[in-house]
Amino acid sequence: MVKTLSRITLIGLIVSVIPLGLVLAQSETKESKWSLDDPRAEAKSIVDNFLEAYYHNTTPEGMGLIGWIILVRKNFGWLRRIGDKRVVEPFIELLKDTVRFEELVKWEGMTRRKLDEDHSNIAIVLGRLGDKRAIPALKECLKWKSREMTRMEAAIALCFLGEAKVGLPVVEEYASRDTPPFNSWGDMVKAN
Amino acid sequence: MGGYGKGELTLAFFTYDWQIIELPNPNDNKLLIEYMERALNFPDYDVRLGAAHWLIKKNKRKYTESVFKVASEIILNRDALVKKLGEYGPSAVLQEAIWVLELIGDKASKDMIKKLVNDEDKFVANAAREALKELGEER
Repeated sequence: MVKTLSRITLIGLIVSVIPLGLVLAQSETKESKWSLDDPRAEAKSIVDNFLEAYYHNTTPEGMGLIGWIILVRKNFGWLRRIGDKRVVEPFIELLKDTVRFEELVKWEGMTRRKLDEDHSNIAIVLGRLGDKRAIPALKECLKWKSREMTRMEAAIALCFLGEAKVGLPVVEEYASRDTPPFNSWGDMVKAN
Repeated sequence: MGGYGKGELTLAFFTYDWQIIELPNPNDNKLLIEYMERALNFPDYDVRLGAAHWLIKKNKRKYTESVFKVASEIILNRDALVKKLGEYGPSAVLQEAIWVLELIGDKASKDMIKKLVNDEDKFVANAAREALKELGEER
């Protein structure tokens, strides 16, 4: 009797554990496929999330938005490869918008230097995605002497967009300094 | 850079795998080459070596002499490096200079690299040995 009961328990256990294992295995496979095997899908998904945060942002300070901008920047190579330019228009708007991120200084105690660094990510992406609609906004950034990193990245971006005549002199202005404001790894080495 | 992404002034014009980026418009590209040529003489070491690296990949034959001059001057003027970058600053710059010389790969460059194989900085010494190995100069 005891033997029969334990057999039934064992079979029951096996019957319930196997499908659970299969589901877990499947979800694991799906996840690894999403992140490791398909960087295109990952890049696209990051843009989806950015757009969601941009159009339906729940935090007025925009903190979440900056996180997605950084991820878009890290994935611009894939976005360029798959021709996903959905960020271009919002990024142009954000580049022109000096108010939205200013809120972060008030709400999150973020420094202006960090803010400038994050804002410069937008200029980098616009340059590398190769969409000429970004040119006027990038040119406008060249006037921003108080946001040096954004200004410098806008200048580099303009070179990639066929405007080297305008962009390169600004790049050279930084490069020819005895100590450029940023080292080659992107760390700011001198206060503005 | 295609690749690096931030703060780069000459490295912006490289891809992640160190291929040079040229600008699609020929007039723009001409301006870029002229900028890199001037950058060889800029005061910042990172900027200078970035330009050296770019130019040697752009046209090895044309720029061997000027790029060798830049890299060897940096190596031979260690005092100036220490003065500007502090005790630990020169290591990365010297390794980059070794890499540029490795790209040239001629006898003069190998001889210059050999000066660093017993360097007090282990990272520099190792970089020099590796470069020579790459150039077929097993010690």
